[in-house]
Amino acid sequence: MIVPDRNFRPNPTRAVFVQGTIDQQLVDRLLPRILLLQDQSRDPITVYIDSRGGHPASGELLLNLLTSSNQDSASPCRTITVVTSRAASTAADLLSSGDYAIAFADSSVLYHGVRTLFGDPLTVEAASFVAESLKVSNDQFAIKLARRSNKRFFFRYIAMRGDFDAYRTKTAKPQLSQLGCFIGMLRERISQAAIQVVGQAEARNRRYESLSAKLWNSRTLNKQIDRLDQPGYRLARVQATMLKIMIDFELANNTDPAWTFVREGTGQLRDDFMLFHEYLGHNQSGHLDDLCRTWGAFVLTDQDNQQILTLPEPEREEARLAKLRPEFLPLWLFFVALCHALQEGENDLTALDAFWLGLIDEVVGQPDLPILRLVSEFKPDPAQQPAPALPPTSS
Amino acid sequence: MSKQDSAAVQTVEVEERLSQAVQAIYEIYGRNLSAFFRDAQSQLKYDEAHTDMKVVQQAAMAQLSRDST
Repeated sequence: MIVPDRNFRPNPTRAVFVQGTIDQQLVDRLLPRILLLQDQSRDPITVYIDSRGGHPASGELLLNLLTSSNQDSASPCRTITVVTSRAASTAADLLSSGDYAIAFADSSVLYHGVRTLFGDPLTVEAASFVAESLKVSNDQFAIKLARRSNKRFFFRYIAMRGDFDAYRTKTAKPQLSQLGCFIGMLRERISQAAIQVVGQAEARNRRYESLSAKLWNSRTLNKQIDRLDQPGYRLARVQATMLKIMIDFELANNTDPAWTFVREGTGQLRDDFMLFHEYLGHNQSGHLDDLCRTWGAFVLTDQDNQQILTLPEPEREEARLAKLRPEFLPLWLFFVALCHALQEGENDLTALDAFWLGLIDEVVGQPDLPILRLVSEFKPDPAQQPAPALPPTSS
Repeated sequence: MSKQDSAAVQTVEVEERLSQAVQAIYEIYGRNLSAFFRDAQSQLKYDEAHTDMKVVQQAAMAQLSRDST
């Protein structure tokens, strides 16, 4: 039985409308309405979007206002974002930042990298500085997008995971990895433009996978990460070890005698460092563990469960997480690579593309998709519930 | 309950409800989420059809009452 849940349903009577350019004027116009809605209750606020984008700083300000607390330090109102026709650039970021993001069936979503207007005549030094700062901004946006949307991507993976074996049989690739099956199945469901983005992400991800293997095979690094829970143990020590491994990795991968760390090398180092620093933060903050706890039952095998049950109770939770993390790490890395790919060039996606790539939660009028709302609104019928255990019979 | 407590409870509620729903789905469907979605989607289609029928019935009743006056 499906019972509607207001936390997953847009509500035009508690809504703001983001139309036109996202700039300070728009924020000024929407501010009184946002404050009023927040004061009325902490129920979800729906944000209807039809915009070609605008200033990233204004988009961020709008999001901060929508998710702000009050004098009683109340939790922010949940935001349900809905693109009705077009969400491009900053508007696309706003859409994906919603706690629950919805797209009308014929709407489109455009992601691209950060742009800047440079008024003064350019010099070589200034051009180099602008190029570098744009790259840094793109990296930061990619990480931010990944942070805000990774739950969706994980859910897409979990929902399709049961069909991976059938996909292996269909494609006659019995050795295909879990991630390989997932990407292959995604490719079958998305447009040509989205397939291109996935291709770029795969290329970037190959590099991430090699570096990831180097990092997690390091005993020193693993020991140091374990010690992070100890009071006074410095994160900077872990970071120093990560950097040393990354420097060695770069050196081994760039065999051209003319290659140095001066330009590409340091840029690549920073990019990689930020990625794994984010992963570490993500891991430490418990986000990944929360995902493992929510969806772990669908991943662990009967054999895994039996093994875990042989352990003393206090060790079971950690053992469960230790079994789950290796399945989720490649997925997380790929999703970051995907978010990076979305910041390269112009990526005009259909609503369905955005859904399958984990950038939104639902496409209106497409009930055949595996949507999170159905999970949350599911209430088992009495007939469906597992039969209760029979009481012991008295002799 | 203070406004703050009420809001905190509300946030936890969303996550908890989701976890409970996930648990209930797991108990019925095991690891086969695809089967759950197939059932949920056919349930939606049934509800839709059912609602349409109600609309038709209501329209017919309204027409009948207009005809009888």
